[in-house]
Amino acid sequence: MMSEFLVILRLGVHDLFEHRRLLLIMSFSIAIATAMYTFLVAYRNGLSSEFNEQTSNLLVVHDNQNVGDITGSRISSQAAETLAGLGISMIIPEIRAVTGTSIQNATLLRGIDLAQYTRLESFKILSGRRLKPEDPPRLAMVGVLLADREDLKAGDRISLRGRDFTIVGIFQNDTYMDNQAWISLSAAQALLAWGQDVSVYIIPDEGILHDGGALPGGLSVTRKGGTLRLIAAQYQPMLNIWQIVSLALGLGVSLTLANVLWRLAWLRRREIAILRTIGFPTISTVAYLLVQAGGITLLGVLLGGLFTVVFTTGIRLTVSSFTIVPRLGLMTLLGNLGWVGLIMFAGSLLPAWWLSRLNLAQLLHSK
Amino acid sequence: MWILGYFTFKDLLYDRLRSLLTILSLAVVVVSYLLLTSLAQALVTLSRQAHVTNNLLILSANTIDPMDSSLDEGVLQTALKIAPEQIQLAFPILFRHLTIAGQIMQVRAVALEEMSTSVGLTLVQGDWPGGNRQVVVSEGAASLASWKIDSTVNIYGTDFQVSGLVRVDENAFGSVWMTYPEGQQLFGTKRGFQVGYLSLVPSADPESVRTRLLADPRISSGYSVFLEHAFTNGYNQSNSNLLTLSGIMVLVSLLVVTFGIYNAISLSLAERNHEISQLYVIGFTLNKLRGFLMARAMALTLAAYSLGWLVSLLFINHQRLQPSVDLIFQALRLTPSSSLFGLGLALVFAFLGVWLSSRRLMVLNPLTGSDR
Repeated sequence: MMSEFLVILRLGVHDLFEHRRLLLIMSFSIAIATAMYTFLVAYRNGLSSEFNEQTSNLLVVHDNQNVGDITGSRISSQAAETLAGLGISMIIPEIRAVTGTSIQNATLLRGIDLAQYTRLESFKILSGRRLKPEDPPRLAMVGVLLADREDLKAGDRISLRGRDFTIVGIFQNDTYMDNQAWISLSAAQALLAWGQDVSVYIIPDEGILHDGGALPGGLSVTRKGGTLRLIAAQYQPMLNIWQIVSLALGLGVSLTLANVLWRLAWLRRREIAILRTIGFPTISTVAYLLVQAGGITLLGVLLGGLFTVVFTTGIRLTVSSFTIVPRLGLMTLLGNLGWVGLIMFAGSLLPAWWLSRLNLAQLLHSK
Repeated sequence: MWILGYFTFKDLLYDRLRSLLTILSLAVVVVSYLLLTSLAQALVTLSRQAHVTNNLLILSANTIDPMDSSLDEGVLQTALKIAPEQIQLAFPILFRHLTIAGQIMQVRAVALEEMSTSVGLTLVQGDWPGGNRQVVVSEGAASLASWKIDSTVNIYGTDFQVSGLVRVDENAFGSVWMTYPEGQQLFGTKRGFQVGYLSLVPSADPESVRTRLLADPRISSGYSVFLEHAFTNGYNQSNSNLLTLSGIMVLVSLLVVTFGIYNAISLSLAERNHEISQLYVIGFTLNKLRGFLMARAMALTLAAYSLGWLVSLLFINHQRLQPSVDLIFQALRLTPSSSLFGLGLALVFAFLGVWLSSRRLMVLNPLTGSDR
């Protein structure tokens, strides 16, 4: 049995080398389909991760129908009194705005309550330190994506609406906030000349107010992160097209692989018939095809991995001051291997089925 | 020629299952190419340069989103005083980004008489907002929210009736338009208006008027003045990264088309060494053999491209009927130019594939049907 397998293995490898140019091109096709699929999944992961809230039990009070999670909301500080009057246990004000002179150099700004902001978001400090309640007003923390984009380090200065702020730390929390600059709430109010106004109040979902509710004075209550999902949804049609294309390419490659293996097996039909006549099992035909499919796929996967690395490190997708970082995890890699395996098996099974149906006697007569 | 055609047809028919497989595999990658091209086309439309106009926009200084701007009537009067001979009209626009019917949309309030003139809206269905609580919506917004004429739109807790559908030129794909007094009533007057629109006389040079306005401290101290098309371009260009990425993907899919065609041709040639040797022996020249292979490759490519094009067209038309387009992405379009360009490239690749593969015919031994 072992020697039979070795003969089949040798025949398959021999044919791989004999048609090496063709098989190299086939490997390139698999590499491209694999790379596109991986690239798409990595960006989809990145998008859903960046526009996903870490906390699930918080509500945001903001201007009616506004995209207050990012920018645009401005409400009076009197709203805090209304909320306190309703018995809300925690009321944290924040300012969320966009600054800059054009959309190309826009910076997402967050004014945070220095005494309470660590209760809302978890983050790790990559360099420097976090902002503290006793800090003077012209200090800032910046997210790692903004720091990378603008080449900023702790100790550098960042200009916000024409005023310089000293960066005390670079943080990372793996969401869109990595694109933001955080300053104290009072500094943001002064910077925007808003007086005591804020953008939003963050409150706990403790059954007093509910997602979708309204308050007097044109205020809305929404679940924290609701607007983010709307923004992520803006990119969904494009990702859907990419997904269809990557699946179509996979199908196309699978069909081409089936065609290639079919034709290679057809060229070897007489040899395969002889082997079967002298006692090789029918499964040996499948093994012959799988050896070749495996060789092509292995090279394709290696090249695809290389393409993916080049794509994901070489292309930085920044749209309207949001940088989307592709994310590759273990599950993504396992999913990819499954995808490639599917291409390989689908491409091998059709010619195997076709070969098994052929009449052995006729094959022996073929030249 | 007739014989060549007959020969090709018979050959493809004899090998029909594998011919079908080749056509299917090529058609699938053609679909990928056409879909990516259509997406790139939509992004090109989105990122294209705005029409150059003779108009200026005033916003509060240091504002990116026009919604954050806050102006009062005084700034328009000041501008009129600074350049009275160049500015023929100045009017305010209220601007909001709001979540309506679960989608992020622009809401703009502007004087009724300016909607079709200065702002350049084209009414495609229904009427301009005439009575109370009426709005016109862009085609994109109507598609997003499944609105029709007489549909009810809730904005800031107030119900509005859709009186018409409008086509917009620039970056207001998902937008709702109401009259200025209606907007003031809805949003209040505390934050003033967001954009001051200055329409210049045809003979005025917008850049020099802009410079003149910014030279006056009453304007430069708190406001920014933009050329209308430059402001629009700034927003349009923010999506240029997506366009680049989409372009790369189109090139990659073309590469797969190339490989697919080359594979199909090389294999059919490798398989037919024996038959080709026989044709050689009975006097067929290399060019004639190439002609046969070319005809075979062209027939396969044309069949695959036609099938792929048809599937893409059906998909894109179906997609246009779905409310999946939104503020950022316009509907996909399969244009004649991109279809013909793709077909031309596929045929060129087929030609190159035949030419490259058939080079080995030059060293083919007619007696053994194998390479020397």
